[in-house]
Amino acid sequence: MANEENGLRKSIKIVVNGTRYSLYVEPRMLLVHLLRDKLGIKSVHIGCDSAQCGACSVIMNNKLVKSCNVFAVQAADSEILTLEGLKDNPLMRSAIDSFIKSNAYQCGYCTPGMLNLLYYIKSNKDSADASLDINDMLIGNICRCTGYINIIKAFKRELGAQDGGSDSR
Amino acid sequence: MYPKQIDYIIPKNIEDLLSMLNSYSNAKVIAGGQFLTNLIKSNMIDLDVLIDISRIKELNFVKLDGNELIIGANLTLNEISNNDTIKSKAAALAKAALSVADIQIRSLATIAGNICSAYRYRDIPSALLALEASINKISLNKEESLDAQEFFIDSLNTKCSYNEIVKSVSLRADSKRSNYIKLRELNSERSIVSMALALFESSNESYIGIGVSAFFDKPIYIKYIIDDKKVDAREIYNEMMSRYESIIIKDDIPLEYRKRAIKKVIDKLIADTFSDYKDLRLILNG
Ligand SMILES: Cc1cc2nc3c(=O)[nH]c(=O)nc-3n(C[C@H](O)[C@H](O)[C@H](O)COP(=O)(O)OP(=O)(O)OC[C@H]3O[C@@H](n4cnc5c(N)ncnc54)[C@H](O)[C@@H]3O)c2cc1C
Ligand code: FES
Ligand code: FES
Repeated sequence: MANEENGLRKSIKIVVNGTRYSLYVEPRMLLVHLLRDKLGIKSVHIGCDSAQCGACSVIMNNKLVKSCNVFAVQAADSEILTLEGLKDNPLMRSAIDSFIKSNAYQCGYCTPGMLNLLYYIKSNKDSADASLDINDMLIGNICRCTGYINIIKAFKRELGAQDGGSDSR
Repeated sequence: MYPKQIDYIIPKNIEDLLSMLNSYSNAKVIAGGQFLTNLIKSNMIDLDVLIDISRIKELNFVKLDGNELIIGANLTLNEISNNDTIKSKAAALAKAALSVADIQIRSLATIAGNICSAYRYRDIPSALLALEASINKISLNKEESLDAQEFFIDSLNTKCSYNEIVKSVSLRADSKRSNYIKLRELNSERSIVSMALALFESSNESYIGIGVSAFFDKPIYIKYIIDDKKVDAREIYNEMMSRYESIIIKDDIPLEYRKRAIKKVIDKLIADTFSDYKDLRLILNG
């Protein structure tokens, strides 16, 4: 990473959905703004801007992160995946099918974040996160429409009969 | 919303970091950024420079050294909950790490970031206290190791000053067993109480170290000596209340509810941890 001659902008390299980018960004720019405003990736939504709702969740170096809580400079040299880059991946395809079959969305605003969460769990089946009850997996993702029941159904369809069948969230 | 302009620098190593901290008057280290970023975004904190320590490899390690487990400051909570050595030697910490916030936050949040956050409802201190941890700090002039009980001044402040950083955390790895429970608010990750315990046995004494955070206005430690092969949860509750009742956190949760909740948590932690243990007699608050 290098300082630009004038101002505080930094030069970063980042791979997003398989495409390499070299860009100048201000340190105060959030990853979510880089993805949406500079790279035009609109599946990454801003729901709360305070790391609560999970609508901005993306995969960064195989981890699930909230892109509103990461500065773009912190993501330098990383690989980012969003729904646009994952939609043909078999794990994501099957997650999308289960969302459709379970009717797990209404307005769809939370859906990309929810799908990235489900994709992350399916890709990391032996992790501590994958051992959680579905309700606990969903703590960082808020849906204001569905009441969660159908989202939990879709998760169950994909992950097998894990706990979490109630709508206690 | 964009916060005000800040500069951002990446030190190459710890030495580089310490001299950077010394040369700026209004800088802050950022590790996972999972606490700090929200403060910066909302302009709740005024700083000119962010020093990103997350790429310093010397701060990312786990080492078992005899009866001591040493964990580098930068280990993320996700790494802690997945680490086999930590799971076997310090189960309470692995469980506490898995209880913090949510999957996304834990991906980046670090152990040092957790204990240094000015956040009242931190979960990790309880496990560190139960496992009788020390916090290892470093500044340009000295390295210092502080008992966790001393490190936490209150629920928001720690003994980590501007130009020093937490380098690692050392825990006892010789507990016979350790465990952790978080009671959180419905539909939220926020703790009502975070409690951990660890059993230590030697030829002359057996005792349980108990750590509590997110409940009193300071993370606390209680040592419960096991007499007559008996663990009495009522005594643990009474000891906590006699020493710390006056500093129970006052927030939107009613005091009476809090007191009932902590009784239940003590009971569950004791029952879950010891119901199959040798011939210990357990007496619960009920
Ligand atoms: C939505 C949300 C939910 C949360 N829920 C919980 C919860 O349930 N339980 C909980 O315990 N916490 C919770 N937190 C608080 C916090 O995010 C985490 O505790 C996290 O561990 C912070 O770690 P970090 O590495 O991201 O720290 P950062 O944000 O990078 O830093 C936090 C503070 O620590 C300092 N710091 C970082 N590393 C060091 C070091 N090595 N030496 C000295 N100072 C250092 C920084 O300067 C800063 O002041 C939550 C936060 C959010 C946004
Ligand atoms: S917009 Fe990032 S968590 Fe809500
Ligand atoms: S479907 Fe509308 S927020 Fe979830």
